[in-house]
This record gives sequence, C-alpha cells and structure tokens, in this order.
Amino acid sequence: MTLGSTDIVFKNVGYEYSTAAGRVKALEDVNLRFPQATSTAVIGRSGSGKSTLVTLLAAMRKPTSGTIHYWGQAIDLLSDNELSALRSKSIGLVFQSFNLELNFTAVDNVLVPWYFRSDFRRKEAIAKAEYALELVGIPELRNRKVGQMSGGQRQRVAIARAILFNPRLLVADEPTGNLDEETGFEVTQILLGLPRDLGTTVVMVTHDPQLASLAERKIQISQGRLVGDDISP
Amino acid sequence: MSKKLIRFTFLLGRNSRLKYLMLVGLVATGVLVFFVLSELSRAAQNDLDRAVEGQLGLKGVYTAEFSPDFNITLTDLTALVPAALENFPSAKVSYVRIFPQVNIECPPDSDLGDQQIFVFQAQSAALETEPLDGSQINFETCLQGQKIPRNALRPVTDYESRSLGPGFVLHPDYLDLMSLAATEEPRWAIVINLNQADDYTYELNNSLWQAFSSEIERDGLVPQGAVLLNRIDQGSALREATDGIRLVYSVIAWMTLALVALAVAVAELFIIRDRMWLFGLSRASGARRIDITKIVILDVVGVLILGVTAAIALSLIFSPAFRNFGESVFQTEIVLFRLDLLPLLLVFLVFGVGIGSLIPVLKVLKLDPADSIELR
Repeated sequence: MTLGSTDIVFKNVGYEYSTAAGRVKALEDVNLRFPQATSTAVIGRSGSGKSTLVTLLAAMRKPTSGTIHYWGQAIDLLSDNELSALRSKSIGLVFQSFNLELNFTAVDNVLVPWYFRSDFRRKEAIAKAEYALELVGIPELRNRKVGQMSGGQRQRVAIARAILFNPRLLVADEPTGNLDEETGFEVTQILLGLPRDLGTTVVMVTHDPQLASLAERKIQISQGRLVGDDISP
Repeated sequence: MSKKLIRFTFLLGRNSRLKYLMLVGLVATGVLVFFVLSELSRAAQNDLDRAVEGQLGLKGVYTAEFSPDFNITLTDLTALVPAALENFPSAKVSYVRIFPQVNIECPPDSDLGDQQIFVFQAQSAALETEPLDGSQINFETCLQGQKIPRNALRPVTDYESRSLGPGFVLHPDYLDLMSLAATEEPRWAIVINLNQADDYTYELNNSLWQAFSSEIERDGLVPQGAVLLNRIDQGSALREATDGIRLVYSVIAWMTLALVALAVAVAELFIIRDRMWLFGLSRASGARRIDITKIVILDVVGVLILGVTAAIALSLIFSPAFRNFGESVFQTEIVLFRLDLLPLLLVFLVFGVGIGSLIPVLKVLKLDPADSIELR
C-alpha cells in the first residue's frame, strides 16, 4: 500500500484499552485507505469497534499500534494541540444525537467551531455558516432556535456545523439513528453528496444496510477486525 | 485572552441567565455582608478606642517632666531628646513650657483663679492640637494687666489635658510676658508619642537619664529628681481586647467571602457538568485544553466581577439608611463602601477565581474529545 498525499491511510492500526476485567482489543490490525472525495459507509454490530474507528478517524485518539496518515502526515508524533489543530482545520463531525445547544440559533450552533480558530473574522464565519445552511437546505432557519426544530432540521444544522470550514474529512457517527426513515434518507443524501459538492471525504457509520448501500464503498467491521470492503459498481 | 472566547463564554452565560443571576446575587450578597461587617468592625472599634482614650489615655503616650531646678534650655532639649529616642525612630515629641500658677483674668474679674499655662515650642508633634483661632474662649484675658488677643489663648484639648493636666495653651509669642506674670518657676516637659501599645517606660527612662547625664551631674541632681517619666496610656489591655473584637469581625467577614468562593466553585461544578458535552464537542471540533480552561475561568471571573459590582452599587444605594443607623447606634458615620476596601476586593477576586475555578478546571482538563460521542 503506497501512501498518497490525498488519502487517509490506516496501516496495521489497533486500539486497546484497559478495564477492570483486563485489556480489551477494540480494533486490531486494520488496513484501510480513504481516497479524497469519496464516500464510505461503515457497518457492523454494536460493540464491533465502529465507534473506536470513528474516534481514531476523527483524530480524537491515537492508535495504540500501527499508524494513521492524514494526507501524507502521520499522527503518531503529533501533540495534543497539533491534533486539535488537525481536527479544527480538516475534520468535521456529525453525531447521532446532534450535539446541538437547543437555546442557540442555527447560526450560533454552526459557529461553535469558529470560536476555536484564529484565521477567520466573525463576518466571514457568519457568511460561511449561512452558505453551509444553504448547502443542507435550511437557509431560512438561520435565526431559529434549534429547540424549535424537527429532528431532521437539527441534523442538517449539525451537518452545516461540520462543513463550516469545508473540511477534507467528515466523519458521521450513526447520523440517522434518531431520525425516521424518510428523514434519514434525506440526511444521508446530503452527506453522501458532499464528496461531489465540496470534495470532502465522507465516512458514515450506520446500522442500516439500505443507507449503507447508498455510499460508494461499504466496509464491515466485526469484533474489531475488518471483515468486508466492497466498492459499489 | 481571545475576544472570541470571551464572546463564547458570554453566549453560554446568556444561555443560562437564571443560573448566572443567582450566582451573581450570591456573590453580591456575600460581598455586601463583607462590607457591613468591615464597617461595623471599624465603627465598633473606633467607638471603643475613643472610650478607652477618654478614660485611660492615648495609646503609646508618655510625659517627661523636668524639675524646675534642672537648668536646661529648649536648645538642650531639641538636641538631646532626639538622641535619647534614637531607638524609637517613629516617635513624635512635643516640647512644652509649663507655668504652674498664672492669673490670666483681666481686673477686676477673679472667677477663674490661678491657671496652669502651657506654651508649646518648636517641632511639637506628639499630640493632636487645635489651632489658636480665637473661637475657644468667650471672655477677655490679661497677663500682667495687659489684655491679650483671643487668638493667643485657648483651653487645653482633652488629649492635652490627659497628658499634661488642666489649663490653657498660650501662643509662644507671649512667652516673655508670661514669664513676667508667672508667680512660680516654670518647668519643661516633653510629650512623647510612640504610638505603640507596649510599655516602654523603663527603656525611655534610661535613655533620657543617659542622654541628660552630664547636665544632671552639672546641676548636682539625681536622675530620678531631674526627670520624671509618666506613662499616660493605661488602656493597653482594653486595646488588646478591642483588637480581638476587630480580629473576630475580620475573620467572620473573610470567612463570608471564602464561603462565597466555595459556593461559586460548587455552582460552577454543576454548570460544568451540564456543559461537559459542549466542551467535548468543542474539543472534537478543534478546541485546545487551554481554550476550555480559559472559558471556565472566564465564567468564574464574570460571575465575581458582576457580583462585586452589584454589591458596590447596592452599598451606594443603601448608604443613607446605614449612615442613619450608624449615627443613632454608634454615634459615628457608617459608610458601607469605602475606597480603601478596593485592594481587599482585589485580593478576594484573585483568590475567588482561584478557589472558584480550580476543581472545575481540573475536571475539564481531563476531558477527552472522544467523550463528545458518549456524553450525549
């Protein structure tokens, strides 16, 4: 496997942690490549290691074995602050439970990552937030409080927050888990359209095989190991 | 501190207005109680100090009287007394010429009888005095049959009376006339104000006898007969008791502030618990540990500054009521907020921020960005 400077590469990645019962191998010997501007669905049962893959992919943790390269850069030697900078500039996150402040407006929620970046003025950031809300199809809700929105609208706000600074990678952890079937389909369409619209690499964890089949590629994890890697025709 | 983080903290505070208002109210109440206790302590102690001074003399004041047989001049005194007091660099001294029995009435009046007259000389600084402005007496006075102006004489103040005895103070310009009118030999006295509660009678006596030893020997006197030192201050034990009262008030006042800081810490822990998911999300979105730490500290700083400001505003609003209360109960002016409290408030702010944010900061420092996936 050669290292491309536009890809994210997992090389023999493993992750272990300790519990009272002893060491647990959450992920073991995973080799993966995520090319730029592609969509990947990650499927697997509960406890299979999907969430661990998300935390590693989103640079929230470092692997306990193996290495991960982000666009040519290995994260093994990055400090905590450097990892923060990597997440801030290049990675967007979407969660199952939206993780939105209900008393904030849509724009205020979308702007949360801006408070921790130094390279944009507020006006520029607001313009970007409005563009992101437009991309997810709810520009008219910019000043509405999230507490007054439906689940689908909330998840769109969360996606807008994740794409505020046009990240190279967007990681979505069960983004449709709290939505009905129709809304889940709409949200998935938005997410899987991002490689085309923004050139983003999208990795979406899901339980739903139907939604997973909408992605260009589907990988399956079981008991911490990669057991399937299918590219859609 | 980045403007963005201040803005973000403000946004979070605005989002939980009720919690913020209650916390600010708590701090304001605590600081107000601190103001009240500090002022009551000051007023009560001033009251007690005045009573002690009235009954038992001024703090740290001594009088040394020189025998009329001791042939010394003001020049001798101003040269030798400072040398005798070299171990007491902050001591203040008044030089006084005492005329024991003088009739200062203009004939044919004779109601006053003979009076003791004091003439304060150069560098007199040991006692609080009053100006000779002619307002203190409402009758004519004469020396040797000559009328003297009203602004040349006044009755002694309470402080002077306690140190030197009853009588009148005469302006030094009339010293020559006074000498002619005196029927008894005048003598010198010095009033020494050490402003220290401890008893230094022994040390002062020895120093004065040593400094004047040549002159005493020259005049054929014994030290005990030449200089007689009296400690005017008899209230040291009572003063210690009033200091104790002040200490108790201060401890209660500072404990109030410490409790306020602890209450802020506890409240902040609850606030942090509610916001943990947001901090986790912020970490996942790129916030550094230091950014989250700053937000927590800014939150505490905001609460304390608003609370202290509210307390100052309330103290100014309630000032007239407290002034009336102070005048009726302590016969003294009570001012709830005094500018000299500002340094103490600054100390409170520094320690309050430290105590209020220490545990919350330690908590958020442990936050793992991956918790954002699990916390909500």
